[in-house]
Amino acid sequence: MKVKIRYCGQLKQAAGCASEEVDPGGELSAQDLIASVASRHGEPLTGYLLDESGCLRATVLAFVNEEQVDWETPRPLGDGDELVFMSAIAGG
Amino acid sequence: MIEPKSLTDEERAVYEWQMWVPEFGEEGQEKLKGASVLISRIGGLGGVVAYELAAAGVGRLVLAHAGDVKPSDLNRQLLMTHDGLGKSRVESAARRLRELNPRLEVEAVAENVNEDNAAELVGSVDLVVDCAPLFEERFLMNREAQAQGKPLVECAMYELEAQLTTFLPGKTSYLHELYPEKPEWWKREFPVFGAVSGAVGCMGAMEVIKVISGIGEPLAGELLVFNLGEMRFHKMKLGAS
Repeated sequence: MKVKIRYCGQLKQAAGCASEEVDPGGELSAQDLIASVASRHGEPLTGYLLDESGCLRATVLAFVNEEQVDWETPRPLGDGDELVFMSAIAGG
Repeated sequence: MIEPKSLTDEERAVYEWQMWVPEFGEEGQEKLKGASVLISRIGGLGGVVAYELAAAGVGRLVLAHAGDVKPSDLNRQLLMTHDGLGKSRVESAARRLRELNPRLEVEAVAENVNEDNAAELVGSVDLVVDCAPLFEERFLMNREAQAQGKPLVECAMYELEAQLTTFLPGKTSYLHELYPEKPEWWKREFPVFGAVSGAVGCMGAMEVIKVISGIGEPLAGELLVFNLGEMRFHKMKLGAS
Protein backbone atom coordinates (compact mmCIF):
# COMPACT_ATOMS: atom_id res chain seq x y z
CA MET A 1 0.00 0.00 0.00
CA LYS A 2 1.34 3.42 -0.95
CA VAL A 3 0.28 6.69 0.71
CA LYS A 4 1.43 10.10 -0.50
CA ILE A 5 2.18 12.70 2.14
CA ARG A 6 2.30 16.44 1.41
CA TYR A 7 3.55 19.14 3.76
CA CYS A 8 2.29 22.72 3.47
CA GLY A 9 3.45 26.02 4.96
CA GLN A 10 6.25 25.86 7.48
CA LEU A 11 5.86 22.10 7.83
CA LYS A 12 7.64 21.75 4.49
CA GLN A 13 10.84 23.17 5.95
CA ALA A 14 10.44 21.10 9.12
CA ALA A 15 10.02 17.89 7.09
CA GLY A 16 12.82 18.80 4.71
CA CYS A 17 10.62 17.96 1.72
CA ALA A 18 7.34 19.08 0.14
CA SER A 19 6.05 15.55 -0.32
CA GLU A 20 6.99 11.91 0.05
CA GLU A 21 5.48 8.52 -0.64
CA VAL A 22 5.44 5.90 2.08
CA ASP A 23 4.47 2.25 2.32
CA PRO A 24 2.99 1.74 5.79
CA GLY A 25 3.42 -2.01 5.33
CA GLY A 26 -0.14 -2.96 6.23
CA GLU A 27 -3.47 -1.56 7.29
CA LEU A 28 -3.05 1.63 9.22
CA SER A 29 -5.14 4.61 10.30
CA ALA A 30 -4.22 8.19 9.46
CA GLN A 31 -3.57 8.74 13.16
CA ASP A 32 -1.10 5.82 13.26
CA LEU A 33 0.64 7.07 10.14
CA ILE A 34 0.93 10.59 11.56
CA ALA A 35 2.61 9.20 14.69
CA SER A 36 4.88 7.04 12.55
CA VAL A 37 5.84 9.96 10.28
CA ALA A 38 6.66 12.12 13.32
CA SER A 39 8.77 9.35 14.83
CA ARG A 40 10.65 8.67 11.59
CA HIS A 41 11.44 12.34 10.89
CA GLY A 42 12.21 13.28 14.50
CA GLU A 43 12.74 16.94 15.35
CA PRO A 44 11.88 19.53 14.29
CA LEU A 45 8.90 17.91 12.52
CA THR A 46 7.75 15.97 15.58
CA GLY A 47 7.42 19.17 17.60
CA TYR A 48 5.46 20.83 14.81
CA LEU A 49 3.01 17.92 14.40
CA LEU A 50 2.45 16.49 17.85
CA ASP A 51 1.85 17.95 21.27
CA GLU A 52 3.28 16.63 24.55
CA SER A 53 0.62 13.92 24.77
CA GLY A 54 1.30 12.69 21.23
CA CYS A 55 -1.87 14.19 19.72
CA LEU A 56 -1.97 16.31 16.58
CA ARG A 57 -1.21 19.91 17.53
CA ALA A 58 -4.10 22.40 17.54
CA THR A 59 -2.12 24.53 15.09
CA VAL A 60 -1.99 21.82 12.42
CA LEU A 61 -4.74 20.43 10.22
CA ALA A 62 -4.52 16.98 8.62
CA PHE A 63 -6.54 15.92 5.59
CA VAL A 64 -6.96 12.58 3.83
CA ASN A 65 -8.10 12.93 0.25
CA GLU A 66 -9.09 16.58 0.91
CA GLU A 67 -11.24 15.76 3.97
CA GLN A 68 -10.16 16.93 7.42
CA VAL A 69 -9.11 14.21 9.84
CA ASP A 70 -10.71 14.26 13.28
CA TRP A 71 -7.98 13.09 15.63
CA GLU A 72 -10.52 11.31 17.86
CA THR A 73 -11.98 9.25 15.01
CA PRO A 74 -9.65 6.64 13.48
CA ARG A 75 -9.47 7.22 9.72
CA PRO A 76 -8.49 4.03 7.82
CA LEU A 77 -6.07 4.53 4.94
CA GLY A 78 -6.14 2.80 1.57
CA ASP A 79 -3.75 2.41 -1.32
CA GLY A 80 -3.28 5.69 -3.19
CA ASP A 81 -4.61 7.91 -0.40
CA GLU A 82 -3.07 11.34 0.06
CA LEU A 83 -2.37 12.70 3.56
CA VAL A 84 -1.85 16.47 3.72
CA PHE A 85 -0.49 18.40 6.69
CA MET A 86 -1.24 22.09 6.88
CA SER A 87 0.02 24.58 9.43
CA ALA A 88 -1.80 27.73 10.43
CA ILE A 89 -0.46 30.73 8.50
CA ALA A 90 -1.32 34.40 8.81
CA GLY A 91 0.70 36.22 6.27
CA GLY A 92 -0.72 39.26 4.66
CA MET B 1 -29.12 42.71 7.04
CA ILE B 2 -27.76 44.82 4.22
CA GLU B 3 -30.06 47.55 2.93
CA PRO B 4 -29.59 47.87 -0.85
CA LYS B 5 -29.08 51.40 -2.18
CA SER B 6 -30.36 52.50 -5.56
CA LEU B 7 -27.81 53.40 -8.24
CA THR B 8 -27.20 56.69 -9.98
CA ASP B 9 -26.84 56.85 -13.76
CA GLU B 10 -23.09 57.33 -13.30
CA GLU B 11 -22.89 54.15 -11.22
CA ARG B 12 -24.89 52.21 -13.79
CA ALA B 13 -22.34 53.28 -16.40
CA VAL B 14 -19.34 52.36 -14.22
CA TYR B 15 -20.64 48.94 -13.15
CA GLU B 16 -22.38 48.03 -16.41
CA TRP B 17 -20.03 45.16 -17.31
CA GLN B 18 -20.20 43.40 -13.94
CA MET B 19 -23.99 43.83 -13.84
CA TRP B 20 -24.02 41.60 -16.95
CA VAL B 21 -22.89 38.70 -14.74
CA PRO B 22 -25.85 36.28 -14.57
CA GLU B 23 -27.79 36.45 -11.28
CA PHE B 24 -25.90 39.59 -10.19
CA GLY B 25 -27.48 42.44 -12.17
CA GLU B 26 -28.53 45.80 -10.78
CA GLU B 27 -29.95 44.13 -7.67
CA GLY B 28 -26.50 42.73 -6.77
CA GLN B 29 -24.88 46.08 -7.41
CA GLU B 30 -27.36 47.81 -5.12
CA LYS B 31 -26.44 45.34 -2.36
CA LEU B 32 -22.73 46.13 -2.80
CA LYS B 33 -23.49 49.84 -2.63
CA GLY B 34 -25.43 49.34 0.59
CA ALA B 35 -22.69 47.23 2.21
CA SER B 36 -19.87 48.09 4.57
CA VAL B 37 -16.70 46.00 5.01
CA LEU B 38 -13.90 46.09 7.58
CA ILE B 39 -10.48 45.13 6.24
CA SER B 40 -7.93 44.46 8.93
CA ARG B 41 -4.54 45.55 7.60
CA ILE B 42 -4.27 46.84 4.09
CA GLY B 43 -0.84 45.50 3.17
CA GLY B 44 -0.01 43.06 0.39
CA LEU B 45 -3.18 41.10 0.94
CA GLY B 46 -5.72 43.50 2.43
CA GLY B 47 -4.70 46.32 0.11
CA VAL B 48 -5.70 44.22 -2.88
CA VAL B 49 -8.96 43.20 -1.20
CA ALA B 50 -9.70 46.89 -0.61
CA TYR B 51 -8.79 47.89 -4.16
CA GLU B 52 -11.01 45.21 -5.72
CA LEU B 53 -13.93 46.06 -3.43
CA ALA B 54 -13.56 49.78 -4.15
CA ALA B 55 -13.53 49.01 -7.87
CA ALA B 56 -16.57 46.73 -7.54
CA GLY B 57 -18.60 49.45 -5.84
CA VAL B 58 -18.88 48.41 -2.19
CA GLY B 59 -20.35 51.47 -0.49
CA ARG B 60 -18.19 51.82 2.62
CA LEU B 61 -14.79 50.43 3.60
CA VAL B 62 -13.27 50.61 7.07
CA LEU B 63 -9.50 50.17 6.91
CA ALA B 64 -7.56 49.33 10.09
CA HIS B 65 -3.78 49.46 9.92
CA ALA B 66 -1.24 51.24 12.11
CA GLY B 67 2.12 52.65 11.12
CA ASP B 68 3.85 54.39 8.25
CA VAL B 69 4.95 53.16 4.83
CA LYS B 70 8.39 51.48 4.84
CA PRO B 71 10.60 50.55 1.87
CA SER B 72 10.03 46.84 2.54
CA ASP B 73 6.25 47.36 2.06
CA LEU B 74 6.62 48.34 -1.58
CA ASN B 75 7.15 44.88 -3.09
CA ARG B 76 3.52 43.97 -2.38
CA GLN B 77 1.46 46.74 -0.74
CA LEU B 78 -0.10 48.09 -3.91
CA LEU B 79 -1.96 50.95 -2.22
CA MET B 80 1.37 52.42 -1.05
CA THR B 81 3.67 54.51 -3.20
CA HIS B 82 7.32 55.51 -3.10
CA ASP B 83 6.47 59.12 -2.37
CA GLY B 84 4.38 57.96 0.60
CA LEU B 85 7.42 56.55 2.45
CA GLY B 86 7.35 57.62 6.09
CA LYS B 87 3.69 58.66 5.86
CA SER B 88 0.61 56.94 7.27
CA ARG B 89 -0.20 53.64 5.54
CA VAL B 90 -3.90 53.96 6.05
CA GLU B 91 -4.02 57.53 4.72
CA SER B 92 -2.06 56.49 1.63
CA ALA B 93 -4.49 53.65 1.10
CA ALA B 94 -7.57 55.83 1.55
CA ARG B 95 -6.20 58.34 -0.98
CA ARG B 96 -5.54 55.66 -3.60
CA LEU B 97 -8.98 54.15 -3.12
CA ARG B 98 -10.71 57.52 -3.50
CA GLU B 99 -8.75 58.12 -6.70
CA LEU B 100 -10.14 54.87 -8.04
CA ASN B 101 -13.67 55.40 -6.74
CA PRO B 102 -14.60 58.91 -5.58
CA ARG B 103 -18.05 57.67 -4.57
CA LEU B 104 -16.52 55.30 -2.00
CA GLU B 105 -16.91 56.11 1.69
CA VAL B 106 -13.60 55.27 3.38
CA GLU B 107 -12.94 55.27 7.10
CA ALA B 108 -9.19 55.18 7.76
CA VAL B 109 -8.35 53.89 11.25
CA ALA B 110 -4.64 54.25 12.01
CA GLU B 111 -4.69 51.36 14.48
CA ASN B 112 -4.42 47.61 14.22
CA VAL B 113 -7.31 45.59 15.61
CA ASN B 114 -6.85 45.21 19.36
CA GLU B 115 -8.80 44.42 22.53
CA ASP B 116 -9.95 48.04 22.83
CA ASN B 117 -11.28 48.58 19.32
CA ALA B 118 -12.26 45.12 18.01
CA ALA B 119 -15.90 45.15 19.13
CA GLU B 120 -16.55 48.64 17.78
CA LEU B 121 -14.78 48.07 14.46
CA VAL B 122 -16.54 44.77 13.80
CA GLY B 123 -19.84 46.27 14.97
CA SER B 124 -19.55 49.13 12.49
CA VAL B 125 -19.70 46.94 9.35
CA ASP B 126 -21.66 44.16 7.67
CA LEU B 127 -18.70 41.88 6.94
CA VAL B 128 -15.06 41.50 8.00
CA VAL B 129 -12.01 40.55 5.95
CA ASP B 130 -9.11 39.23 8.00
CA CYS B 131 -5.73 39.99 6.45
CA ALA B 132 -3.73 40.50 9.66
CA PRO B 133 -0.20 39.11 10.05
CA LEU B 134 -0.60 38.23 13.73
CA PHE B 135 -2.80 35.51 15.18
CA GLU B 136 -3.70 37.68 18.18
CA GLU B 137 -5.49 40.09 15.82
CA ARG B 138 -7.05 37.27 13.83
CA PHE B 139 -8.48 35.54 16.89
CA LEU B 140 -9.89 38.83 18.23
CA MET B 141 -11.65 39.65 14.97
CA ASN B 142 -12.99 36.13 14.62
CA ARG B 143 -14.37 36.07 18.16
CA GLU B 144 -16.05 39.44 17.64
CA ALA B 145 -17.43 38.53 14.23
CA GLN B 146 -18.85 35.30 15.58
CA ALA B 147 -20.31 37.00 18.68
CA GLN B 148 -21.91 39.72 16.56
CA GLY B 149 -23.15 37.34 13.85
CA LYS B 150 -20.99 38.82 11.07
CA PRO B 151 -19.51 36.86 8.15
CA LEU B 152 -15.72 36.85 8.01
CA VAL B 153 -13.48 36.14 5.03
CA GLU B 154 -10.20 34.63 6.22
CA CYS B 155 -7.22 35.19 3.94
CA ALA B 156 -3.69 33.96 4.68
CA MET B 157 -0.48 33.32 2.82
CA TYR B 158 3.09 32.18 3.40
CA GLU B 159 5.87 32.04 0.81
CA LEU B 160 4.19 30.72 -2.37
CA GLU B 161 1.20 29.20 -0.60
CA ALA B 162 -2.16 30.61 0.46
CA GLN B 163 -5.29 29.60 2.37
CA LEU B 164 -8.76 31.08 1.99
CA THR B 165 -12.09 30.33 3.63
CA THR B 166 -15.30 32.12 4.61
CA PHE B 167 -16.87 31.86 8.03
CA LEU B 168 -20.64 32.34 8.15
CA PRO B 169 -22.56 32.92 11.41
CA GLY B 170 -24.53 29.88 12.51
CA LYS B 171 -23.27 27.83 9.58
CA THR B 172 -19.52 27.33 10.00
CA SER B 173 -16.89 27.37 12.70
CA TYR B 174 -14.60 30.41 12.97
CA LEU B 175 -10.81 30.59 13.05
CA HIS B 176 -10.36 30.01 16.79
CA GLU B 177 -12.33 26.78 16.42
CA LEU B 178 -10.35 25.65 13.40
CA TYR B 179 -7.00 26.49 15.02
CA PRO B 180 -7.63 26.76 18.79
CA GLU B 181 -4.07 27.92 19.46
CA LYS B 182 -1.61 30.37 18.01
CA PRO B 183 1.37 28.57 16.43
CA GLU B 184 4.44 29.43 18.45
CA TRP B 185 6.62 29.26 15.36
CA TRP B 186 4.75 32.00 13.45
CA LYS B 187 6.86 35.13 12.94
CA ARG B 188 5.66 38.67 12.26
CA GLU B 189 7.85 38.82 9.14
CA PHE B 190 7.47 36.13 6.51
CA PRO B 191 8.59 35.36 2.95
CA VAL B 192 6.21 36.93 0.42
CA PHE B 193 5.85 37.88 -3.22
CA GLY B 194 3.23 40.52 -3.98
CA ALA B 195 1.82 38.30 -6.72
CA VAL B 196 0.96 35.64 -4.11
CA SER B 197 -0.60 37.99 -1.54
CA GLY B 198 -2.37 39.80 -4.39
CA ALA B 199 -3.79 36.55 -5.79
CA VAL B 200 -5.39 35.54 -2.50
CA GLY B 201 -6.51 39.17 -2.04
CA CYS B 202 -8.45 39.07 -5.32
CA MET B 203 -10.03 35.78 -4.33
CA GLY B 204 -10.91 37.14 -0.89
CA ALA B 205 -12.61 40.12 -2.52
CA MET B 206 -14.64 37.73 -4.66
CA GLU B 207 -15.74 35.90 -1.51
CA VAL B 208 -16.98 39.23 -0.11
CA ILE B 209 -18.89 40.01 -3.32
CA LYS B 210 -20.50 36.56 -3.27
CA VAL B 211 -21.57 36.76 0.38
CA ILE B 212 -23.03 40.27 -0.03
CA SER B 213 -24.78 39.73 -3.35
CA GLY B 214 -25.78 36.09 -2.94
CA ILE B 215 -24.25 34.91 -6.21
CA GLY B 216 -22.08 31.80 -6.49
CA GLU B 217 -21.00 29.61 -3.58
CA PRO B 218 -18.75 31.03 -0.86
CA LEU B 219 -16.05 28.79 0.63
CA ALA B 220 -18.20 27.96 3.66
CA GLY B 221 -16.90 24.81 5.37
CA GLU B 222 -14.14 24.53 2.79
CA LEU B 223 -10.56 25.72 2.79
CA LEU B 224 -9.10 26.70 -0.55
CA VAL B 225 -5.40 25.93 -0.47
CA PHE B 226 -3.11 26.84 -3.29
CA ASN B 227 0.56 26.76 -4.10
CA LEU B 228 1.59 29.14 -6.87
CA GLY B 229 5.03 27.51 -7.04
CA GLU B 230 3.37 24.39 -8.45
CA MET B 231 0.09 26.04 -9.58
CA ARG B 232 -1.70 23.45 -7.43
CA PHE B 233 -5.22 24.32 -6.17
CA HIS B 234 -7.28 22.21 -3.72
CA LYS B 235 -10.55 22.69 -1.89
CA MET B 236 -10.28 20.92 1.46
CA LYS B 237 -13.43 19.91 3.34
CA LEU B 238 -13.37 21.19 6.92
CA GLY B 239 -14.92 19.31 9.82
CA ALA B 240 -14.65 15.77 11.14
CA SER B 241 -14.63 13.06 8.49
